[in-house]
Amino acid sequence: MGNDSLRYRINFSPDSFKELAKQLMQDPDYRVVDEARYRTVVSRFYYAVFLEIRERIRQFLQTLDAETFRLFMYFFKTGEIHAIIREILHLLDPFVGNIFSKLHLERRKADYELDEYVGFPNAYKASKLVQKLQQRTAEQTLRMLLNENLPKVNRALKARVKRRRCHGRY
Amino acid sequence: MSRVQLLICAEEREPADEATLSVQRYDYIEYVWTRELSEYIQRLRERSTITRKLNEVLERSENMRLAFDLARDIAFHIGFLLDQLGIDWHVEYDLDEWPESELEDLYVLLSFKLVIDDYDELLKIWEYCIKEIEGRLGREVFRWVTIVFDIE
Repeated sequence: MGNDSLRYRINFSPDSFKELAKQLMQDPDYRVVDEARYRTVVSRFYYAVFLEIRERIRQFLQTLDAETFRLFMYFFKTGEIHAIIREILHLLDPFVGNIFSKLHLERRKADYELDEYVGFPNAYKASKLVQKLQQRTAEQTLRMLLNENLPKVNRALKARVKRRRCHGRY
Repeated sequence: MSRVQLLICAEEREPADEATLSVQRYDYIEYVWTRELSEYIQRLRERSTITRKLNEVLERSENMRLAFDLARDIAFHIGFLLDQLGIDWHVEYDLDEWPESELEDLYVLLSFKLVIDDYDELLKIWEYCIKEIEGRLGREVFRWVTIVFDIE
């Protein structure tokens, strides 16, 4: 039971979140809870792409550079990993970094802002952003970009660790 | 006045006239340029809004004022690019942070709203603008300023 559960967690593909979001977007059964549905769609789209990128960066850093990998892993399961992924993407490809930020803003609105309406246009925008992000962070591309910008990523992570120390949290 | 006298006068006058003309021309160019620039800055102001949250922080944080200056430069360039493309736009300056972060991940958020129908087209224009800004200011600017585009 324990092993099965562990294997399931390791094998879970974040892309399933994207599939779920797509199906949910078109499912007529959820019309009565329309806004809740679209909020969930935006949130799942974000997590599909966030987890995919996080995993890819983790895997590539593990093979590319031990020190950068170690720094990355300090933040891996903290809330700060969202900001770190944003920072790394900005360094690798500024357009990708900015669209990731936009998707994060959409997700934040969907998950936390109750006084703003979230509907089909938001879900549609999120799907377009995800499409673009996935095109631009394909396995080969991301590996190449990380390889080229490894010193910058290393410096950014070190700076973050330093700031964390200043805040007394490390 | 004889033809010779006229020629002498013309020769004497010519250099002076050319200089006067040049000065006048540059005065005129400067006048037009200044007028166009001030009109453009005025248009930029009319098309910009600053959120109260950002305004409050700008009053007390020198770092955020520097980031805001950077953001204004960026908005100026992007506004110019969008004007060249003939796209109507509006920009909002906001202060933002990553709520999940334990550190204060503050940055200036530039939200451009474009009058455009197609989201794919918006993504293309967005990329074009980001590349231009990267070329002018380097990609480090995106650490302090995030640029997002949306349909008006």
